[in-house]
Amino acid sequence: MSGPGPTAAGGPGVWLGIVLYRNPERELERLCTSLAWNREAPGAPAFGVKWLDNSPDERLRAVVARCMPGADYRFSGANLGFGAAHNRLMAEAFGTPGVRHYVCINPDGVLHPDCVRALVAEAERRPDTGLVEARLFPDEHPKPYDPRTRETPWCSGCVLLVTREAYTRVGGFDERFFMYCEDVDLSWRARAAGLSVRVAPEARVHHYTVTRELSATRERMVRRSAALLGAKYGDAAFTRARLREYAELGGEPFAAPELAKPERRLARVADFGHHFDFARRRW
Amino acid sequence: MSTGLAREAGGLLETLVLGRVGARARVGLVGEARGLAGALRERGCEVYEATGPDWKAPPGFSASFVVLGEEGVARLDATALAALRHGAPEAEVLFTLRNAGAASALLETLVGTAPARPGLSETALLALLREAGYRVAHRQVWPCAPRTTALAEDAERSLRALLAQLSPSTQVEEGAYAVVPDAPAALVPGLLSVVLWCGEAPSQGLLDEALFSLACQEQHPLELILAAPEGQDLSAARALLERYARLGTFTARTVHAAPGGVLAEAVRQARGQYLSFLDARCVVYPGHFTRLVRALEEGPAAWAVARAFHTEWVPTVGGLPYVRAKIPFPLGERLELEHLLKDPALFLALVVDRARVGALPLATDDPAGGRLPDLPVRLGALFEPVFVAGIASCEVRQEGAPASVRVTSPPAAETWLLRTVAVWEERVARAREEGLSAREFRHRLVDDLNARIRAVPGVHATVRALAERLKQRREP
Repeated sequence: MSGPGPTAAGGPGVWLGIVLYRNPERELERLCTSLAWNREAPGAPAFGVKWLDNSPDERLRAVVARCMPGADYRFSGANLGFGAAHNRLMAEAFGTPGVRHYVCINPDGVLHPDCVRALVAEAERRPDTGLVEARLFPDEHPKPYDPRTRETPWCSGCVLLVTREAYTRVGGFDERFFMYCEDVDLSWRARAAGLSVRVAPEARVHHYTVTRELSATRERMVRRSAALLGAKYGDAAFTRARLREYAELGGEPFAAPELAKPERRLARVADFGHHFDFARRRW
Repeated sequence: MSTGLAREAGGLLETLVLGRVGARARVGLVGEARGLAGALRERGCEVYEATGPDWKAPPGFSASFVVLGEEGVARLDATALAALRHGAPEAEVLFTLRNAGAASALLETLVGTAPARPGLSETALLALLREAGYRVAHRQVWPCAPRTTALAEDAERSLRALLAQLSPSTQVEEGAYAVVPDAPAALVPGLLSVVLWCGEAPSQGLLDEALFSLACQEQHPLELILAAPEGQDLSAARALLERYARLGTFTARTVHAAPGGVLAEAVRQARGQYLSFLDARCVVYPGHFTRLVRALEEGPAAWAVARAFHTEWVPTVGGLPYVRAKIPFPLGERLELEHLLKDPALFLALVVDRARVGALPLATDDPAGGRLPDLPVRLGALFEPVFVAGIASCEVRQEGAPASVRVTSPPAAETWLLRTVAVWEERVARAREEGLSAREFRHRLVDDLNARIRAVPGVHATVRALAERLKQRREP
């Protein structure tokens, strides 16, 4: 094994957090199989897995127990949202002495057997690492990264490693984002704090949503989060455009976010010039 | 094919038998093949001459060869073959055939100058043998005479060409065959077989990604056949397969064959009703095969093609690709013949329903030096494909620019297309319409530009003068 050693109490130095919401059984079976591959991979660090279920009931408890006997499953009792749920797990992880990294895992992904090892290896490569994302596979996200330094403008939250350093300096996700865009915001805050935000190309996660059926709820949620992001970073035009789209999609009225005037270091990293890509596309 | 001279040199069956049966073999003779007995005994063979037209093994006689005479071949059917496999399970079976499916015979029958030729076509016979668990170990054939009807020469040639494209065995007049027992290879309904070409030794990283993407496919049941030339080590691939098999989404095996014939052997072993090809450097998106198979299930087409990406990449440390660009192909909402000719990589983005292509040979040459087989063109010549337009669902990943992709052998100029006149009329009308639209667009663009620069003093006259000069240069 490599990477961070066990904590003083003997626990793993890496925590994987999985937030559930009414997931299909087959999806969790595939995820658990891939987690098993990652444990067995040569050079893989020891890691713990924590499940937090945002579903309306506890039906998934039995599924998780079957797929991963002895799993650490908690039922949140409410749909907290993506960022808030991970924040709970992250707070617990970094409240445990010796835990160096927390990895957010989307339950609808399948981790390549080298995913966790490669994420941790990339994180340990530099002391200023803030975030490291797994490469989306097979349809890679078109945002750019430097193939030499692996620096990227922002990291996707699909499979995202957060270092203790990042958590200490910038905190977790902004809980005003219920879902979507919270990863972009965390990335920008990490970069503004002088931390390195990178891709680990060997760490692949099979995650494909392009052909997923269009859902009006999802589309509205994306617009609402994007509007919040625009407001938080002071881009009035972007915010207005997203709010207009939200209304056109039949979104319920809500108190429009107040346009902030971000600090210069934050404004410098924000990129609203490329629509929802938040960076120049490679293709 | 052999020449007619070889056939005249001696009885086909006798030449075949004496060429393959060694000394002291145990040979069963059925039907008129009994005439060979003397020649075989002279070689020291133990010979049993069956009394009836069917093979019945005497007690204690385990034949290493069974020779079928004309009558024995004429009576071949599933029951007779089952009896043969049971009575002589290890025997090589030797026979000759006058092909009832020869193009010459079919055309003569169609124009009414000859009755239908009795017996089996070569295609039917080979299918019968395959289903009974035999594979062809030796096949020597003689072609049809070039002209056998009074039809206009062009008409006869084109009809024969279409028959040849559908089934090359229509060009066979007679043949001599040796078949040996083999595992039965009946098609499994609903099963998709993906032949993964591993012949150009892809890096471990790329192969891993190809298999990872296949393991996460939504199409089930799925059979993966990893195909490589003899001597190429596939142990790393097997280890990867073993790991991904835990997802429970596919079955897999490896096939080795002599270089040049690897894909053909893989196709022979593929059990799926649906067949697809992939290169070990490519990746597929999860719904790729599902969409293609659904398109076939919901319509009458024999094959389906998806839009794909040419993925341009450069290797990085560790051999993984850094993707620089993805270029979708073919473009547009329709698949045109031109795409099949220009985009040989469509070979890696198709699924064929083998139950709908008859005897069309799907076995192809192996890719070599970045050259891909011409299967899409051969398929497209006879069967209109269904095009699954929309978002590209697989990636053809080749280092460098996609221009390096070529077909193994360019489609022959003699390739004939089978389409109705209505289809051609529709194509021509569409092309004309697209041409008009393009011209209208060009005019609109020029008008718009004209309107914009008219307001700028001096520029309008200068641009007009320049355009006039260019026009004059183009028109001598």
